[in-house]
Amino acid sequence: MATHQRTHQQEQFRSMMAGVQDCAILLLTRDGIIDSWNAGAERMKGYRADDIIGKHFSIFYPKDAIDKGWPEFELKVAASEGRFEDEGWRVRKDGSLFWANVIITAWKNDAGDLAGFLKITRDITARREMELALRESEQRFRHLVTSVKDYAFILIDVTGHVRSWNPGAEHIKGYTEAEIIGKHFSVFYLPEAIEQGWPEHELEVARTEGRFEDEGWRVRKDGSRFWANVIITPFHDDTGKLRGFWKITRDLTQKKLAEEHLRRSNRELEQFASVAAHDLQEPLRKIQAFGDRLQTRAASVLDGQSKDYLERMLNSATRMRLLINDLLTFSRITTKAQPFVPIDLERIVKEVVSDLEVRILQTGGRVELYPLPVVEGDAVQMRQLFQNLIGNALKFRKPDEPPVVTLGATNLGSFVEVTVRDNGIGFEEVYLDRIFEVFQRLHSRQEYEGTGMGLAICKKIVERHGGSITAKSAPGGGATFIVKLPIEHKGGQNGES
Amino acid sequence: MAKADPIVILMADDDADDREMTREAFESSHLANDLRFVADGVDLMDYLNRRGIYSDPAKSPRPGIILLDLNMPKKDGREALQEIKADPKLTDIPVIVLTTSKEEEDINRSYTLHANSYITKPVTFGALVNIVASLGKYWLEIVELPHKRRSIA
Repeated sequence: MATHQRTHQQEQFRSMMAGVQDCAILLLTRDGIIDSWNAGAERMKGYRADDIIGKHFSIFYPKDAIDKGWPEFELKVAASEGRFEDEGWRVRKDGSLFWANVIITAWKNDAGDLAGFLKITRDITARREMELALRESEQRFRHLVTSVKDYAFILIDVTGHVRSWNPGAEHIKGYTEAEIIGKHFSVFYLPEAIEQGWPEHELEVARTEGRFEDEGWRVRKDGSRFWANVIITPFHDDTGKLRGFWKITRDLTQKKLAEEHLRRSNRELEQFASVAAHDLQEPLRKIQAFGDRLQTRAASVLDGQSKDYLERMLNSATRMRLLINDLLTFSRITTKAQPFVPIDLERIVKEVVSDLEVRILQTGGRVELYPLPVVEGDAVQMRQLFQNLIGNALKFRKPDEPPVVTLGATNLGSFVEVTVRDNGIGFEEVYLDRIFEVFQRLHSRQEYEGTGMGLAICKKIVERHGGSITAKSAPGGGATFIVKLPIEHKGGQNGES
Repeated sequence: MAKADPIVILMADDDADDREMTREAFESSHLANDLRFVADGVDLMDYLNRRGIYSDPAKSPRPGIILLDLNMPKKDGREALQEIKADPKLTDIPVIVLTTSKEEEDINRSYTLHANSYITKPVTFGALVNIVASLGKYWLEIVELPHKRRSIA
């Protein structure tokens, strides 16, 4: 009766196992011969029951595993310890490989003797690929974090304590990993900043806004300061719970020192230039002053020729004073540069035209102004630019024709093109490059007064604003000066030309 | 009522030529003022405070107006202006800055330091005579200068 029941149970069990699709469940004899098969095994390994029953189970192993004696070894371990588990490559009927998780269990008969083995195999190729991809991604991240020496990548927990460190952090801040793990990140801040609650504030901003970025002084292990660019970003787990913060720090001390050096350099240059200008003007002033007194005092005793010489001398002195002023203006385009703000070009031009009113009236000329846009720039320099361009347009007029100066603008997307057109004497375009050079003139001094600096100043101003200047002209056909200016400047604009 | 003694005008300028020209300009404008000169900021403050060679009040009569150059050695006009206007004994003396500089910075700063006016030195003598004549008319005829009791002057 019992035997019958057991046989029936066994039959039921066998048919259950036979139906399982996801695992290969096999019975092996003591010697490793395949004694039963199931649906999962056929699915996984490709053999049908009649092809495979009676064969040795090493058929599933790659050649090198067979050579090394793995199958037999696994049976031996299962026999002695009751169980063997492993992961490794297995071979399908068609020769293709898959990554398997294998458990071999010894089963004993009622007498306690080894009767055979139960082998359960799962195809975990997909899972393995995911694990490998994850490991590779972690390795790449770790590689990035450890190999970057210029950036400190620090992990801090929600309470602000340091949880991970990298070579960049050690390089920048001086602490070794052992010294800093577990400490609060406020140790990097200046005492005044800690007093004012900056560290907590930064974490709060990161927490609520998703990101905190700042530049400021930080302290190294040895107490020395460095200028840091700091970004703090929070990270959350899958449930959205805050797990901690990533803090990326860059040491920008060099850049800051360079900026301060440049500022100091500009200040010194400006001081030098204005002192030089003043001291150079001094003797000229005397020449003019005493020359003028001589003209008055000696008018009755000087002959025409002598008066002429005196006049020329005084004119030269005046010219030199103008030149020194222009040179000072030229140098100040960089040394006295103001930060860019939005300026209304139309208003600037109207002010310039108002300043030039006397000259416009004297020449019987007029200025036609079409709408001009608002651009970001230095108002003083823009004024200088248009003063020079409109002044030139009035100066180089045809002797018998009142000057007409027309200003207009075309929008070119991120740039705007402003044109200053006149009906004057024009110039040959072959000289186009020369006219923008310092001290270059196209006419003798007798013909037109000027220092040869006007357009060089225009060019320097335009270039400082990130734009360009050129001109079109023909002798006798007037000239059109074309100034291209960016409408906005995002960063990098503080007087660095 | 007898008219008070002519106002003393004190000019601080390091340039001998400018001092000479100004003296001549005053003569040309027929202004009968007592024009005195100091050559730098240290000299100026010594005069005003009656120190050193200026300890004798007869040698350093209190000026009714100061003409002040900005660029002078030892102590420049900017520093001197600050000191004069910070001193309660001297602050009420009108100070007219008369200098070669036409820099906006110098103009603005002078007024911030309470200069009464700012004039850029002209080049020609003729222009200087005009300015001096105008100064005379404005500061000495039109304007009332602070009255000082004799004993202090």
